[in-house]
Amino acid sequence: MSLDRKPNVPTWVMVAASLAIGWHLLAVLIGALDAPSGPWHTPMGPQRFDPPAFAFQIAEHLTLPYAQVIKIAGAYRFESNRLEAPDVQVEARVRDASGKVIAQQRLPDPSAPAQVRYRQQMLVYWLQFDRPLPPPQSVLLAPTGGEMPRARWWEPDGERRMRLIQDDANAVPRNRPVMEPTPSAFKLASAYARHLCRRHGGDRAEIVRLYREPVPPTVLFQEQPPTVDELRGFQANYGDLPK
Amino acid sequence: MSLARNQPRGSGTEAAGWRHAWVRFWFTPSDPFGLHVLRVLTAALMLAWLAPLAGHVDDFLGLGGWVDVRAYQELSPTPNDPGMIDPRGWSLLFLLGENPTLLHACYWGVVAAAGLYLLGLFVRPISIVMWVAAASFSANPIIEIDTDVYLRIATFYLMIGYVFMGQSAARLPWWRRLLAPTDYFLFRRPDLDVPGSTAATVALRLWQIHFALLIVVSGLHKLQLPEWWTGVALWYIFNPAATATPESLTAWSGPRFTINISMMSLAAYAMLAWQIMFPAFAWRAGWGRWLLLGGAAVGALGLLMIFPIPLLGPTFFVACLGFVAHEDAGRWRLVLERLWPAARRLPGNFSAATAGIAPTAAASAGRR
Repeated sequence: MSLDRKPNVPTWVMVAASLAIGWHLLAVLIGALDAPSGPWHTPMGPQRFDPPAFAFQIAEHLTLPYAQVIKIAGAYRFESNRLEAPDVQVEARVRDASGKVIAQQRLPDPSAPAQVRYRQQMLVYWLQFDRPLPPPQSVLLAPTGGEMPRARWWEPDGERRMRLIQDDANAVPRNRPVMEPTPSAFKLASAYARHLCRRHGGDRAEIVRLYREPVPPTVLFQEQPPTVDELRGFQANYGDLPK
Repeated sequence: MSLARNQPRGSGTEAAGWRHAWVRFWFTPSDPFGLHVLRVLTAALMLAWLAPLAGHVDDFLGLGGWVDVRAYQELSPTPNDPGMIDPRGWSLLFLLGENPTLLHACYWGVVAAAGLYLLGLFVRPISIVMWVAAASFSANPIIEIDTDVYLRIATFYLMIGYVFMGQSAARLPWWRRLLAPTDYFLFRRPDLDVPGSTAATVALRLWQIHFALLIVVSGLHKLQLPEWWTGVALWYIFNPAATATPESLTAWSGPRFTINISMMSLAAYAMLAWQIMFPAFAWRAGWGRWLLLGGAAVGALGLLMIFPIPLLGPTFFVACLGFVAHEDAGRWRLVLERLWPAARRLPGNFSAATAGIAPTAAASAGRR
């Protein structure tokens, strides 16, 4: 087999292609750098930090539009690298207008193909994130002609159980730490509830998050292995979310 | 880069050296057989990627699925919430709205196109369809998995290669320039005398550099995670939180625990070293080849057996094959010729006969 080992394209083509290659690789490299890092452990808890300023500026002012079109310039910080991950599952019950349960769904679905099951796992993974809800510093008043601000937070509802409460912001407990689902997690749960109602013709869907902490190998250094009760997870009930 | 001994060193000579090295690296024509192999494998991966979605098209892909129109709007970033979805992302599926019939038709159309891509029919337009499909079907970042990222990259560079490959050929009808209907047909007899293709070189080099960057960055990202620093990352694959019980944990304890955990930490660090040092050996012949393909094979096997994404292992291996597809394409071609002697007796060049061009002239016209 004979191959012409010398470049056989005109010089102007090589110059144009070189410029295009340089631009493309710049966009790819900047895409990999322009991403927040972490979460890193800080005295204030785990926090993400901003990308390097030069990468952010080059992306914002130069390469980001191109990267968004070609959709291959990413950060490559895969969530699958996080192997010390909790187990998050969702149980959903779809109810009709009378309150009767007409369908139930569990995610990830044990009977689904592996790739489908992993995507379901990714969906419910984003529901695990809660954040502290600072109590109001004083009594809140409704604005003139407006409504009282509302808040939602997790309220204990038994051993290892929580229920989502949505109420007047003044009702947020002030004598203990309170957690709330992140806005994105709540919106995602609501979106899933809407999807289930559309699929099954329901009026509302009760979403329950099941959460189990990862088990580190250091438990084997304890005198006794962990018990079934210690390995039991937590339940967080979002309540009935409308269609 | 090399300089003649009796030539004085100077910035002009060095600049010319870098220029020649750049031209040699990017624009030396190469046997496109390696690109064809990557195309076949990527098409097979696309089919394997699409197949499990068959019963879940509405859930994953539609605007009436898990993430509907309202969620796309609500999950965009706000001043108080970083959000989950980039509002500037695109997908051709957005044009289909919430119409399930169109969505399913689009899905099955892409499956059919992947089949044609594998067979090497109408490769030029279908290479564009494959990239658009990979980008559109994975538009939802909430359920994006690693395989989606790999396939978007692979289909993009294959598109670059096939759109430009053979365009410099003289006397090529316009419809063949546009469609390449059978030019790269899978069961076509491989020509012994194949002119090199600069487009194939550019596509493969971009493939190599991009995947090298991906592997290194992914390795560096692992260093942000404590389980990788402490070497216990693999423990969580064997003891996921979902299935951990007192009995399963007790089975790990005992005299072999120290050996097992030490081997796991060694394996974790070997993975880190392989990923972070990847560019140092990926382009080397000899021991570099063994390290590249050996590591890719071990990684692919491990991913296939124990990772919850079964397709990631083969996808990763195909990505690494791009590093040998350039230099070793000729060797692969000879191996194929030996394995498939019947190929020598296949009918002559179908496309050349159709175009009225003699086979020899067609081979030298750079169609492939």
